[in-house]
Amino acid sequence: MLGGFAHGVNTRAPAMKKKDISPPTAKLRRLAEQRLRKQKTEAARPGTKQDTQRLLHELQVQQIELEMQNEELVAARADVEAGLERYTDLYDFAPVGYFTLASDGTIDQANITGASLLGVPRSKLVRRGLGRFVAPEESGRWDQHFLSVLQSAEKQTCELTLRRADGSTFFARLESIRLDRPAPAATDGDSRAVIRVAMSDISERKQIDDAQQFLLQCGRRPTGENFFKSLARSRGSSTNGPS
Amino acid sequence: MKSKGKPSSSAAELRREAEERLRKQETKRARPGTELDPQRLLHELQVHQIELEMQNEELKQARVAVEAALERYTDLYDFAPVGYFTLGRDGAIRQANLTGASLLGVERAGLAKRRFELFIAEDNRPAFDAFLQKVFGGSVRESCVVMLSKKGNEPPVVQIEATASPDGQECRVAVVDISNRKHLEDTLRFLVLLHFGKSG
Repeated sequence: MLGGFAHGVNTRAPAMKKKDISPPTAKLRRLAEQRLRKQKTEAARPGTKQDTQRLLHELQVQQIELEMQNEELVAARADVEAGLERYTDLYDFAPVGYFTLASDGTIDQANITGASLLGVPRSKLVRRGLGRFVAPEESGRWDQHFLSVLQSAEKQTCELTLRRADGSTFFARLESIRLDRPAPAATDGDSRAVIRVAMSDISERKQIDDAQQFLLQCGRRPTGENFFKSLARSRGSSTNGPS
Repeated sequence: MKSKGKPSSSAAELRREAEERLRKQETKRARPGTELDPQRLLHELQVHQIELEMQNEELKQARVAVEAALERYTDLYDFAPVGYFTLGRDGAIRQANLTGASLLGVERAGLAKRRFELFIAEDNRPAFDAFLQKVFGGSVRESCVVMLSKKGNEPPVVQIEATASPDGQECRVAVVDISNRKHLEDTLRFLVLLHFGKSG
């Protein structure tokens, strides 16, 4: 009969693929023996042979119940894990960068696309301010955008130049929205504001489409001011180039 | 894994099935000369029972943790700031988030299996087809701008970014409404930076 439960344990063991659940190991066995000793001293009474038989039967039934419950739990967990894997993958490899920010602008979570857009390993992004990746000339616009995200329930949009870790820049479009979500360790329905930012690199489209449009606009201008002159002028007093 | 997909059995059902299994085990093992000392057997059973209980607890805890994580990622998906679709090679919608459904102006349930193209303005469809072909042709990331066919006075202009899945059987599509872009102002700023940014 001993072989019976040993068999039961072994057939279940291969299903326990994930590391977080230990299969019945020597350690588990030791812990179980400890608990049993405690239970026994609590309910120590001598039994007749009949009692023992009944108890044996009872135990065996209970054990099979437990085994079945465990199988169900393992199966249910496998389902949930498959779902989690799918959604994690959808998140990480979305076609756009995806960031979750705290209300102070620091990054709580970033997907892999987002980390690669900024040229930084994901592990180095957490707790850093997303604003640090905005080109210094445009940090004011970022602040303005972030403030309007905090103050509005509507999605806010911003297009601005970002600077990667290696110093190269790209033009990005940000779609940001503030949502109220339960605080991490909330027990009483406490919620806090989280900001979700979707980021896409639109440099290429900008350079081709919009340069065309800009030139078109320049050409239509009644003053006939040339392209670079208007560029210089739009840069204002900080321009040192020839005028 | 007989129980996979089945809701938890009631206590009485569980008990009945357990008795059944035990009977089967007993008839299988009913060989003479293998009788064990009942006391030792009892002890073995008790220990194993507690092992099982502990395993059971562990499993329940693990499930709670995984379920919480799933909930978090589902929420990130559904309430992303951009529309998010999964399309098959035939362009049919396999999955959509809530933002995406509302961008198309359709209940999510009504999106399944419909061709994404149907939501694009008719004269923009050839461009979208060509775009999808490029995506499935193995390009890393593609983007295009099209007008939606939504009824109403001003159909939204959207930017679409897509990547094919590793097996090339589906692609993931992010859809952003760009109708309200402040074209000239942004263009100017960008070109200025492009030309003078490094020296400034």
